Amino acid sequence: MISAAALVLIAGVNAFLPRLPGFVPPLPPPSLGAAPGGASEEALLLSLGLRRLLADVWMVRLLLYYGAAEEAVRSAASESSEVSGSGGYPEIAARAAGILSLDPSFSYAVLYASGALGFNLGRPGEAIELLRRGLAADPGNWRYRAYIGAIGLTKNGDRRGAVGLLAPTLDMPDCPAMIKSIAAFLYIKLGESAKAAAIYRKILETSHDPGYREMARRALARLSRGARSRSRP
Amino acid sequence: MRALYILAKDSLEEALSSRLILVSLVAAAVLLYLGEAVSALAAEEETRALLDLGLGLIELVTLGIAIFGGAVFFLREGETKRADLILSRPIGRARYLLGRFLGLALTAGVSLLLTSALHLALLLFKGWLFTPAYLYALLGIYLKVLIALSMTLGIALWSTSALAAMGFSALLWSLGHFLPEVGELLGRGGTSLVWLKPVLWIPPNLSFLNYRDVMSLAPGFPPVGAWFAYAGAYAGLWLLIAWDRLRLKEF
Repeated sequence: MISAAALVLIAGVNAFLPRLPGFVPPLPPPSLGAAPGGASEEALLLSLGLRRLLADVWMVRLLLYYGAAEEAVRSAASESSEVSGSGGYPEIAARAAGILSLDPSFSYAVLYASGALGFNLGRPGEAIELLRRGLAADPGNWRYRAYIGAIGLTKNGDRRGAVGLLAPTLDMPDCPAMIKSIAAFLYIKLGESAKAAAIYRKILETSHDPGYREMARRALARLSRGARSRSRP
Repeated sequence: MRALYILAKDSLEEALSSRLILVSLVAAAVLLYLGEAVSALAAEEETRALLDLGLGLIELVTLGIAIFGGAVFFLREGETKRADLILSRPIGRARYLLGRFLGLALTAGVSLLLTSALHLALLLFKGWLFTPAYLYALLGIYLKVLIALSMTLGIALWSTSALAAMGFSALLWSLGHFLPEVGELLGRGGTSLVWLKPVLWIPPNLSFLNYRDVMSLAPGFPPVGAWFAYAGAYAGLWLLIAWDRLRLKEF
């Protein structure tokens, strides 16, 4: 009898919980199936309360998915040719949106995917749509607005305007090395080698990605050779 | 009060002597070490991945200790006739239950402190900048584990099977994280699934205490008072269920 009454009271406590002062409603259910991966894996991690960890797993998958294209971009940048990606990678936006639905604060995923779509893959529409989703989830994130502007300007061929909008985002901890490298490349195209070199040095010092560190090392060596040849009489 | 203290201390000492803590710590250390390798895959988000993986492992290890301890403790006390020995003294069954609960809660707390110290050291070594949100996330984990412990004690005393108690507690734990999703699924099912709705009234709302999900989104002071109020009421009611069985139990 006491146990039955206690169970009824438990139901009452659960019903009363949303009325507690300071109650924060839980995050809405994520859009499951947005990113590839077994449904059982999603269910297991969600049922253990490891929602952010699932977002991390999906981010790793996104990095692996787009990794091949990034290699192409790195080598293109190291040859000082136009930055352009390869391949279609049709799932990038959907994968990033899935990560965002798991963790609305995961700005790195949105910035990384929108940067790849907007600057490397020539799909600014998808990039801006993703950034708008990011803004809806985290309206205070000014980097999203800066990226929307920079992608729009890049589409119109305004490199100076684009890099001007990207510049303040480069020092933020959630700025992907890919964006830093794009900004450095735009500075080179604008003839501002000193600014490009400063960004490459930052990549070299702070990036955890060995591929980007190696690319920055090569770019710095190239810029230094260029500066020496220009200074010769 | 003194009886409670002695019972709690005795439970903690027994857990320590059974090497439960040592085994869990070794497991946590190995998993964290492996986690460090896995988080390297996240490249620039390495510290975030290590943070999330570590907090998840800390919770699972602490939960394992609590659920295992809660499921086997009274069964073992009955088998070894220790319960008879204790209850032959002027200690009420409610106090006996509360003392054992506090001892198991202390054991889980020690495990949480040790594993999180290890995790924190690893994070700081990796260049992670400490934030108080980490401590709130740990508090949320601990309150969730106390809820799981009280549920397990209640279920173990009623079911008299350690395995069933662990399984049922794990099921309620899972449902507790899945409430928004299950609610949405039931909503999609329309009126035909209305009869399943009461299922959602019993599991604990663990998403509410899962601060690590929202720690980057919600800067500022989390609703710690509401956390304590909810966890205290929910765990207290499960302890009442446990006591209801214990008061009639023949050891």
